[in-house]
Amino acid sequence: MRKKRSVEEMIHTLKTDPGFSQNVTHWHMVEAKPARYAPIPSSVPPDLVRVLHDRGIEQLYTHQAEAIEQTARGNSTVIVTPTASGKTLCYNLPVLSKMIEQPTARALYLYPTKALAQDQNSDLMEMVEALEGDLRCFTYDGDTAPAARTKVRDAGNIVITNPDMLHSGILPHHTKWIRLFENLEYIVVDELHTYRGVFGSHVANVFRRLKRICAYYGSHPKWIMTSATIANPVELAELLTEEDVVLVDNNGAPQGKKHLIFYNPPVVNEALGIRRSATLETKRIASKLVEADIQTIVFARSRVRVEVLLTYLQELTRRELGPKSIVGYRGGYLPSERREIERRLRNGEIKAVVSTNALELGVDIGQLQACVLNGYPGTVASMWQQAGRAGRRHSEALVIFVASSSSLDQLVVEQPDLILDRSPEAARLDPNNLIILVDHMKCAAFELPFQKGERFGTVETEEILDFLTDAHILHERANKYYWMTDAFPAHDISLRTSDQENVVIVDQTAKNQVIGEMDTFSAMTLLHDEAIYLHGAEQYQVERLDFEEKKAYVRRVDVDYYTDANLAVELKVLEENKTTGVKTFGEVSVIAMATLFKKIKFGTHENIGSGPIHLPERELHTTATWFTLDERFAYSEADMEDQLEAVSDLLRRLAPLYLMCDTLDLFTTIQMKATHTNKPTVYLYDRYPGGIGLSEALYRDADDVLDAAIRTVDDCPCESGCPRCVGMIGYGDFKQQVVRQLQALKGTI
Amino acid sequence: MKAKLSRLIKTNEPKPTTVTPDDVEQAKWRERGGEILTFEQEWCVRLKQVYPLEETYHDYTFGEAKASLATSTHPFFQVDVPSEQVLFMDTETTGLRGSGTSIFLIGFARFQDDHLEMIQYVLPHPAFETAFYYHFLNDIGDEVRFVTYNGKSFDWPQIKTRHTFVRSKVKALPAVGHVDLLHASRRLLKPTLESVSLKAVEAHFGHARTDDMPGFLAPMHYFQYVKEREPAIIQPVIEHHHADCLSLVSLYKRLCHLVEADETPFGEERAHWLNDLGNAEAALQEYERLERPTKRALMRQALLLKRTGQMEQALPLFEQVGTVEALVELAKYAEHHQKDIDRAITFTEQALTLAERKETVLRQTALTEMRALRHRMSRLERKRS
Repeated sequence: MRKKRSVEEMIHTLKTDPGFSQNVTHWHMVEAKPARYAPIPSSVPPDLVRVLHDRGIEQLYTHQAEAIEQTARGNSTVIVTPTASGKTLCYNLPVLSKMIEQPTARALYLYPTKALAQDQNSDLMEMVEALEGDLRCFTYDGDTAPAARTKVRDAGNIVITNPDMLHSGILPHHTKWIRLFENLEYIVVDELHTYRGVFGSHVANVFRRLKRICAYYGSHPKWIMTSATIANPVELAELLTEEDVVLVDNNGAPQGKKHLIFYNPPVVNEALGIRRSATLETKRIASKLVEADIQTIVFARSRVRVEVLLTYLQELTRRELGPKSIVGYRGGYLPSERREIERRLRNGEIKAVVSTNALELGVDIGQLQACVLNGYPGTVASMWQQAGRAGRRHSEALVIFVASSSSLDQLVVEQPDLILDRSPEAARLDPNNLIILVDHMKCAAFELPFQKGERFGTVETEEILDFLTDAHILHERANKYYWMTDAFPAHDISLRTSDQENVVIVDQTAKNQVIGEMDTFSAMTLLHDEAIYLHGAEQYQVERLDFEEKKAYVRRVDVDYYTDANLAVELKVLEENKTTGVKTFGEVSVIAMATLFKKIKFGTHENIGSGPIHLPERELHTTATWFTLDERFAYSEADMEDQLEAVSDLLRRLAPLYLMCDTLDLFTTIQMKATHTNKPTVYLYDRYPGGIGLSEALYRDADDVLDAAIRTVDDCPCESGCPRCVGMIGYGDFKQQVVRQLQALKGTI
Repeated sequence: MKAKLSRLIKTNEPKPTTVTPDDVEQAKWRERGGEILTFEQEWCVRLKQVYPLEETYHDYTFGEAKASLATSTHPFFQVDVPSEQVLFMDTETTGLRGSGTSIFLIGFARFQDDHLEMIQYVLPHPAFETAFYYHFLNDIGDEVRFVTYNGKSFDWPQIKTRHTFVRSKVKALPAVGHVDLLHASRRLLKPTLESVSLKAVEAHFGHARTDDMPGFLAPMHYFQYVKEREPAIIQPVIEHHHADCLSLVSLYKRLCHLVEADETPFGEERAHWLNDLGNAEAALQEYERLERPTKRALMRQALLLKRTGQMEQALPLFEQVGTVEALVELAKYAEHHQKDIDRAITFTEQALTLAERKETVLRQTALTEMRALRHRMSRLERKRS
């Protein structure tokens, strides 16, 4: 059955197969790039050079050499590298060089998750062992045995951990880590691009605390950071660390020729516009690749999807004996299982792996030949990261993006240049979000008393310190602010959740099992009593939402409808910070109350029932960018309302693409007559209290988003507007009306 | 006019001395018998009280406790320093963990020639930690042994943590040793008591505290005191802490008695403890005295006998226990010492039957055990043929 074929042959087959090629909306080629090398810099000591030689490394890639040179010059760096370009050497070599020269030196390695920290350890360990010195590196996380902790604190030259552990396990206990903080030379931050949004805003403040503690113990460490390709690596690095940072991006790693194929599953029901399931199409395409013996990685967006695809694909290997050659990979697997999968991937025993974005990050699995993306991963940066998993040096590689029916996926597959022509998104965060900032200033005050006039990072602290004093959390005497409660502040602050109060989702189907959590604001419309909650591919019905205790009890169901809640939103502008007349950025108060919900049948979208929701209203103070439409472009009030809907719909769909955020991070609301101007207005606001910089970035980059919106409408083949472009069935010159509004917002009319 | 005059014309009149809030507070402490100790610009309070050795506290006189310090033969309770260097110590803190949790009250009871002295140091404000640790460390000397309740893993590490902040100005920490009575209470009372908190243990021995302030309220009292600078606010905490330290003296004596007295309900716990502490001889004596030993006691006694070269005495015990482990011991002895392969096989067979019947949740352990037994069996059979 299986017939080994080369990627080149496979590409030919796909091109000539009409069942495949007629569904391809775009076939994009990325040309091959040869390797560029540089000699090992002289700052690397001979012992270490010997270790490199023993591993067959005689020279380095250009970016590796430059990273080492910049670090040796005392600069903090951010190194931008695609997947599998040898980035670990970029920080391991400078760090080990320093330690050979100065054995008391310490370094702190931070990986975004516990799993990644454990994954990265082995390579470093091998080099350290080969050096035959007294260097020790340890992982320090929640799993570290209490008995081993003292040793890590006192003797670890390199301590590998994650931001959460730094926040709650290391900084609040800094007196136990004196040796580390007194001698800290380097802080390595891997996967920098993951530090964005709420998480990034938290981590920026954890870094302020880290720098404060280092300064207390007299060290001034340099930073070595690595990031996937994003639009603003230096800005991100500087926002996070508040240090001057040098960019290293002259990637010298070689790259084979790459085919990037955009595939839209065929329409199976013209009348309803239903396409064939992306999962089934993914299965079909992946099977072809596996049968041709091409090593393939399949990315799916959820754990459940991974399991479903895996079940399909393992059918192919039913008769195989011994360990399966098609495996799954996702969070929740044991570390030892993952190590085994990575090893078997590298040596080619595994033919196909189905993964969540867990393998998008820097786990070393070597390079595969093909990559199938089941749905758009959410950001351009992620898409390139995943695509980067395919591509060997000397052969061509194949990346196939299979679009799902979601509006964002359809947008991407219909207009691939939205992704291809554009540099990846910029990562946004707001270290000065007041709520996050105050939370971390509490932690900082616990760690060391604040002096009057002291800055927290770049922030003036006086007003916040006085506020905390009035709240009886701090006590001021002789120009110092002392921690004055018996609480352990880091314990109550999680870096990962976007709201301090989250609703926990408890599945009661079998035994009470927590399957997820959701912020209270979203819970009002998604977890009210009787709501159908979708988790992965499973349907659950909410039996009871205990809003006081912040728990939603759900049970698995199988129904043919979903629920849609009405949220009555009352938005008030509190302050205008900047404006162009039609576009304004400022602060708003949003009062939301869920009123009732409808049951909507899948497929036909019929309304088959409804019910009331009894929940208290919620208030959210946040930042927003709003657009004021021009009434002169509308023939009637009804017309105006449609235009407003259309513009709002376009912005809501397109903005996340440009802001590198989840569609749920930015909410939209419209007002036919805005309370403060009486004009039709579209508001886009950050979902997190205080805002995390998304709407502000939207204000700045609005022209790009508006351009994309204009193109979306212009390029759509429909005549007067359809759900795909303007979000509704239009009439007459509706499309032109919408475009005129968009142009007016740009100020080009 | 008056203001202008006094500005222009300097008179010889003494300026009215300003009374600072510190002065006011210090006066209040002195009224309560406190001594103000200063260091640079900082200060702290020392409270001292003396008790005659004849005084009884919780059933024992302080004199009896002092005698135990010198005479205890039990390895856990023995101290290797003169009794003046033993501190029955306790602290009160602003929280439970972390570098930001500070100690605001530290104190100890300590024997002098003919009396027991009780000394407490109060931190009037977090800004004065240097004075607080400077005087505490100067007073206790360079080598001490602490008798505490959970002090080994709580009070002492917390002192180390806070010492870090002032280490450039005060003495280094002394060399220490610990007699942690929480550990002793656990060893002896855990099977009987639900909680082995100091309060619960006191109550168990008939000294329930009645009007004592609950410990978790101590930080609130302290924060209030720091704001209002009124020593009366923190008085309940001082009393509570004072009682805790004295209670340690009495409890030390009581626990010494429980491990050393001839008549004891804790025979088995005592034996295991000595065994774990590595005192084989004393442990064996304790095991032998047991009237109704459990299987665990018999097994541990037998293993100890075997380890100390008294296998002959151990054999009947192993037989009495009759568990898989015991049968394996018998099989080993038959094979290697008695050179009786058939006998060894009999024991191994018995062990296998037992292991097969065993219901266990730890399947992995059970499997390993079975595998080891089968391996032994086949080796023995090979040896026989």
